[in-house]
Amino acid sequence: MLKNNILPIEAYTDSTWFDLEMRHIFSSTWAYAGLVEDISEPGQFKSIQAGLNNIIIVKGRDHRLRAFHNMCRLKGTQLLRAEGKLQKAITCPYHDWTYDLEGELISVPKMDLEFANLDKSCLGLKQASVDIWRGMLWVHPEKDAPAVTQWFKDVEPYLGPHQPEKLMEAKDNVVIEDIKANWKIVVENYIDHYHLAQLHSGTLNMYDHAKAEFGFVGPHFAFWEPLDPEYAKNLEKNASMPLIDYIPKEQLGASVPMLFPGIGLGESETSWSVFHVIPIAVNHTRVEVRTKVMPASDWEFAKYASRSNKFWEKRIGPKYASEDANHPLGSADFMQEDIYVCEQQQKSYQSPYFELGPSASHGESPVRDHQQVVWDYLKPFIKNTKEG
Amino acid sequence: MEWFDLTVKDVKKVTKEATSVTLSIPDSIKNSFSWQPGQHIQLELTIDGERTRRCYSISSTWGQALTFTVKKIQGGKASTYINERLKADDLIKVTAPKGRFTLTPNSETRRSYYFFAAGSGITPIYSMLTTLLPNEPDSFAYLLYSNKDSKSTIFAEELVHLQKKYSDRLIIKHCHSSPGWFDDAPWRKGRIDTDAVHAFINECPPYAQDAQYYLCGPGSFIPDLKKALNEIDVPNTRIHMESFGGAKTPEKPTGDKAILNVNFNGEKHQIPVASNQSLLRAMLAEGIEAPYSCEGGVCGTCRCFLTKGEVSMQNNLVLDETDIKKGIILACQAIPQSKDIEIKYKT
Repeated sequence: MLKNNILPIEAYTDSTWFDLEMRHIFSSTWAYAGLVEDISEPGQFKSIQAGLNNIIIVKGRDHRLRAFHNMCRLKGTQLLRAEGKLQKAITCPYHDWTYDLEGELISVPKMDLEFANLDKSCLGLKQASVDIWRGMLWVHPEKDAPAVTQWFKDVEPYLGPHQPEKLMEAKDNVVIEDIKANWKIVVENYIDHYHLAQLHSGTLNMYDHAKAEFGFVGPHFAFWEPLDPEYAKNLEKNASMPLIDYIPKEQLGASVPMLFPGIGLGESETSWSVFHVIPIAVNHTRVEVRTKVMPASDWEFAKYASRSNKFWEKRIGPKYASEDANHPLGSADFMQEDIYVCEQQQKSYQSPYFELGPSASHGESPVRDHQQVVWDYLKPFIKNTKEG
Repeated sequence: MEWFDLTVKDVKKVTKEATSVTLSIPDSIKNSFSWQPGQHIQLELTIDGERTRRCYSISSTWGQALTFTVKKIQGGKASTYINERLKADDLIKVTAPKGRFTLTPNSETRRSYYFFAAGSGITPIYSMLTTLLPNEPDSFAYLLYSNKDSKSTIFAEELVHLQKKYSDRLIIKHCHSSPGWFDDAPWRKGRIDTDAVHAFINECPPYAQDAQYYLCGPGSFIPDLKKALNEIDVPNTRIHMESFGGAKTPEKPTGDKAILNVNFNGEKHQIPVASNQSLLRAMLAEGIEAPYSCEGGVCGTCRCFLTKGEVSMQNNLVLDETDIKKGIILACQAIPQSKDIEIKYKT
């Protein structure tokens, strides 16, 4: 009997595992760092926590992004916080050590008095890598990281034809959810095909789950399913938002890949979104979702919403109509439904009476494959733990 | 320096004033003639009994027959000869390709390449572009190209085709100093100056963030553009340069007559240097085949170590403070400032 047992249960409950994942997965791969428009002007910067590394991205007047580890070379003090704009230099708040936009140390207060023979040229900021791919910012802790396009090369052909740069971010629409579950449970739920028709019977029925095509390409997961025929029949009228107008007819549907580690995309007929899974602790995960849609007027959006209202009223409903709308299973919101099951699963994993059930051979194959990817990364560092 | 007698395979006019020359490379010397986009060859021509040497950049695509392209310069002996008299089957003396101004594509690399070219400065850059685009599929190229008008633009048609073929990864903008009445409007009127460089980068920011900058043109084009790039935070480590003929050299510092001791290829020489003569010219006059290329203080081919005495350099776009502290100088730019000079070359 198949089981989702490539990883032991401790992988979801033991902080030793979590620490190893932070070091060997989240601190050693290309990390999602936001959307290109987050840094549009010269001088703008943004700091990103990527695993154990805090990395700053700064744009020069040449419009090129630079990335550095956000640590002063004197005592490691964080140089820049969150987002903002600077002029020509980066100054540490602690002792005013100052670096230029190439990360070179250019000024040290009382240098001659305090430091004999200080060679400033050896004390530049540690460089990292930054690049733009599919309208998203990416950082890597290594200075000479392999190109981001190489990292995603094999999965790229399976992604949607969406051009995120040409879409606009939906106003005030960033969703941040704190989930009481391990990051892998959140990812496994995202890529699990088996539950779609059941848990989300009332919320994700605009796609034809039976026709879904999916699988892992290297460490990344690709998934695509077509529109539900009834929805597709009168798409222009049924769509709740303006359709992305350059998607070829045969590609209409939902591409829902999960890039490793924990960067889900939701690429549909009307929207494009990033579902960023951020591990906080072994049983705590933050998810940040940003969504982009066709550039159109509010009036245009209102038109689509009201025109399609009747269609959706009939179709969308909660998992259990008997539940209160405040309960996830009564909410008619697929994200709340997912969070609910993830948190329940985490609770059970901590119970001494928990025992793994069988694994669905087709629908849960992505779960086993993702476990395998994680295992391949961590195997060299795990001691005294049973394998599979 | 080894000279090879090569046969001209083909001579082709590319504009009214520019000619492309393709050479036949016999299999026996193929290895000496492997080259990187951006490199040049040196030619020795005997024109009306007088020997003349010139450097020309290779303009062909990596892996194709070696071709160089020469624009006729007013009063230019070699360029006029090549444009008006050189023909297929002629024999010419050529050195093996060399030069540090190169671009070697790597299919796994992803970069944004900015190219700035003036006039015949396009020739090495055209070789880089046509090699880069098919061989580095994840990279982007941005070309700002300055000419008098569209008629005098070398590779104008080829560039149109290239842009069509690689429309998602290549941007080309033209500057014309005196656009013709019936030309399509250029992106900008005038030469490439600081404002043009800044406007170009603002309008076409890099998509891939590992950006590299290649400059090729005559006279003050290189120092002016380098300054323009530095002004917007481009570090020197990302700027690559090649200076081209017709350089207006800055005022030469006055120098002293001197004696130069040089250790080159294991042989010791003691030679005179005239006042206001560069160490390089003094060595060449004595038959010492010291390395050099642009003779403009740009390419760095002639770098050597000053171990005794003082020199001043009229133009230095390569060496930074740390190099100079180490005693590195550019032989082509170094004018003696003391009587007794000693240099050595790293072997």
